[in-house]
Amino acid sequence: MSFKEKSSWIVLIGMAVILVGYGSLLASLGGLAAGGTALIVTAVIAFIVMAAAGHAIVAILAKDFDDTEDERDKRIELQGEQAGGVALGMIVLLALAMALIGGNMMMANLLFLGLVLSEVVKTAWQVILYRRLA
Amino acid sequence: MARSPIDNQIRLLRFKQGEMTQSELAARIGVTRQTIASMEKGKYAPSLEAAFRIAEVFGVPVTEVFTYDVAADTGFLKRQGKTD
Repeated sequence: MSFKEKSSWIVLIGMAVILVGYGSLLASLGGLAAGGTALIVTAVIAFIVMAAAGHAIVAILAKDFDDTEDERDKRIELQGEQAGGVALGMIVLLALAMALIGGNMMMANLLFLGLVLSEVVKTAWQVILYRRLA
Repeated sequence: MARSPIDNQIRLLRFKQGEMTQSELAARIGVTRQTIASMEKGKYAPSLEAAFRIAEVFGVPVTEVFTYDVAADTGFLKRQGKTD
């Protein structure tokens, strides 16, 4: 298994721990509206610590440590990011719907404009690439 | 899943080069050992650049490393049927 794949496993496990841990904590505190900035910051720091420790252990235990990224890694990364982008878009749409239902127009507008902006960036980049490769 | 129309002789060519290791070939063309293993299993099709580099390492034409079986390329055959 390459270092890049091990790294993906570490991030996956770290994120799953955060998702389950943070989700359970929110459930015990009363649901999605519970929690606060400190809790989110703690979750982010916990993930960074877990990921750093995981990568350090893998690097120490590796016989011949090599974190070179090649064309296969890049192709895998792009496809993974595409899937992650779809998931993120669906979550943003859900959050937008909840903001509209709750009458939080500032949040709804922010999410809507964020979605539009990300599409602008995506298609602008595609147009640039089409022109470059024409 | 449909069989890939592109096959390769990397394992055989490594053997002919005195059992060159996957790691050595990988280092010489600038990919990881896992990518070479994936190519040998036919699970990963390399870029043209990597394909030519492999051929260069073995000192053979790229067509001796990679072979193309048109009969297995159903998408291509379908297109030919449409344009005939």
